[in-house]
Amino acid sequence: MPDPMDELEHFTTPGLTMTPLPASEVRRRGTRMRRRNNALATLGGVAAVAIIATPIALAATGNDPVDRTPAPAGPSGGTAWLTLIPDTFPLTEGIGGTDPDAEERTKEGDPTAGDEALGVPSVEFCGETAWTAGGDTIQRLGATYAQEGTENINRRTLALYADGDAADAAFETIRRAAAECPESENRNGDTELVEVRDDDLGSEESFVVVKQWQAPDDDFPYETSVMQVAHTGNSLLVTEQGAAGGDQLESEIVRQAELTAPVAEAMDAFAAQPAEAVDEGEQGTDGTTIPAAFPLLDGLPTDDEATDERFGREGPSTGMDPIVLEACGSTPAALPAPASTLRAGWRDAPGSQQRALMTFTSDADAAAYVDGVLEFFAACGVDDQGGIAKVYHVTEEAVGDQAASVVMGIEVDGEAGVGMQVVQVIRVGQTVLLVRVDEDGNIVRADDPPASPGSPASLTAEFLDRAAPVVAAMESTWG
Amino acid sequence: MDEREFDDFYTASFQRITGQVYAMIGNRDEAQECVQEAFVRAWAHRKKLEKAEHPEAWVRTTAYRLAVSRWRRTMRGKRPVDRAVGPATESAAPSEAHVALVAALKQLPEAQRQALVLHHIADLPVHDVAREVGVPEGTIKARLSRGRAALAALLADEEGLSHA
Repeated sequence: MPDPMDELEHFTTPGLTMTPLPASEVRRRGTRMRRRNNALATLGGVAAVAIIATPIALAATGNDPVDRTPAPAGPSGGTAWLTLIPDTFPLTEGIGGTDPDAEERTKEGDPTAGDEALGVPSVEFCGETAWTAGGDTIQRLGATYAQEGTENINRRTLALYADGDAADAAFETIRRAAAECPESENRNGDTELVEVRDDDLGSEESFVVVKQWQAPDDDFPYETSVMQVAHTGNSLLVTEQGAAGGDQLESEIVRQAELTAPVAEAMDAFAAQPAEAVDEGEQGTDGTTIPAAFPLLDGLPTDDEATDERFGREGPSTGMDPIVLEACGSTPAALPAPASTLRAGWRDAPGSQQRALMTFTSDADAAAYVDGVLEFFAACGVDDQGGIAKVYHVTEEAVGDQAASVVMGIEVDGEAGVGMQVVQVIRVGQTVLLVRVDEDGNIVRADDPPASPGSPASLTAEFLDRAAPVVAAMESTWG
Repeated sequence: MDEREFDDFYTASFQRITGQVYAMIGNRDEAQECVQEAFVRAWAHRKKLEKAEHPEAWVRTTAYRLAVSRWRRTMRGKRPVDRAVGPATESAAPSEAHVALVAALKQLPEAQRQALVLHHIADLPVHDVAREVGVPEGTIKARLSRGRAALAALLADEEGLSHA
């Protein structure tokens, strides 16, 4: 008899004719899956959203993103500010104009670090510094486009402040400094002319500063530059680029505005947002803090879908009652305790859909929680109470890093009865989404084909679909 | 991971991973479907794949979990609607020895079968098997030991029956 280990180690797949999809089709389906999953995720590409409740502001020097731990809860209804520049912020869009090689000629980074001047590091008028990219900014991003061999250099800096007031103050300081310095003389005896113009770039507020240099004996300026200053919420955009002077100046200003418009419009991300009330007791360290704007309600029915105005969506809140899991007359014992919990749900007369997003101090603890829930329901199996049985169907799911669904149906003397519950646990890293759905009027038809409404497969698919935007947000934040 | 890198990875590893998953679950068509789906998810989560120390293990684990999930539903008669992830495959008949090996593997407990396949077919050292499965090394060693003994006994029984 051949050695089975030899057989294993020389295992091949004879006769396994492979006709896999073309790689391009695999990528197309993967892209579609990713877009579907991200459809309702928070601000695309944002790794974390740090929420600050006014009037307490978190300030940081240097370019390190601020600690994600929110400030102690301020008055409910305060203003929240985005304090991290998203990876996808389009700072360099249009910076090279129509240059097809603009991307290769553009560098992006911290305008206050290193020797290389990235973006606009500072603004001066009449020899006085009106603004710097450092100062009291909490994060900044600079970009410089330079075409070698020419003087075509365009610079942009996006700066974030602790709050809208600080950004507004910086905005007004630049405007005032420019307006108070209409003319000055530089070291060479040339005259610098400064003109401030209102210009709508697409942000909440904006203006343009036209600088021109003129030699003493000349009638026309030999150099012109256009500076754009835009402000939205707690963000400030400063750009600087050379411009054609003379008759072309007006059209040049319009052209520069068009090139900067996408960037100015993207600054909407930094507009003031209402902060959610957050209980102090639930705050944790990095990784365990749940952003107050986490979209835990996404995918749940809306208030309009409730049968009565007394019902509808609940939360998100840390103050709601925890979700209770019960089977065979007991509750799960010795599950790891979460570091933070956020609750939300939807309630209506026939039933409810409840969610709890929990963070744990480690992936292992989160995994142990999921394992504990699974083992609890699997151990029960069937809870027979004299002719009326609760039957638990446990299925592992390929969602997130670890997931499972439990569908509880009622059987009365062996026949499907009225009453249904679905419990789902989905883990992404150190976070777990717990879902419990109760529908008293629903019937679980365990023997029906999987695609039939009421089959466990169909029910688990329905509620996994509803949870998909939340899972996508979990992956975006903790994945 | 850019498109070309992904395509190269896909082309180079699809058949190998399918063979490994096939050995784990004993169903060739199912293995191919699950591996296909795993690569779709790999592209959807390519940032995660880039960070993975062993991208092939990531795909294999995903495919295996998909296969197990679908297999369990099949066992309960609740097979989900199959999503067509590629054209139907034609499989030629494998050898008698191959059939016996796969049949024997299917009779092993899932944990032992998975350990044997990862160690002897995927050629992963015990440490890497333990990491991929998510259990201590000692557990893997025990599963390998028991799995080898059980597999040898099953194949010996099969040999005896075939020569009866």
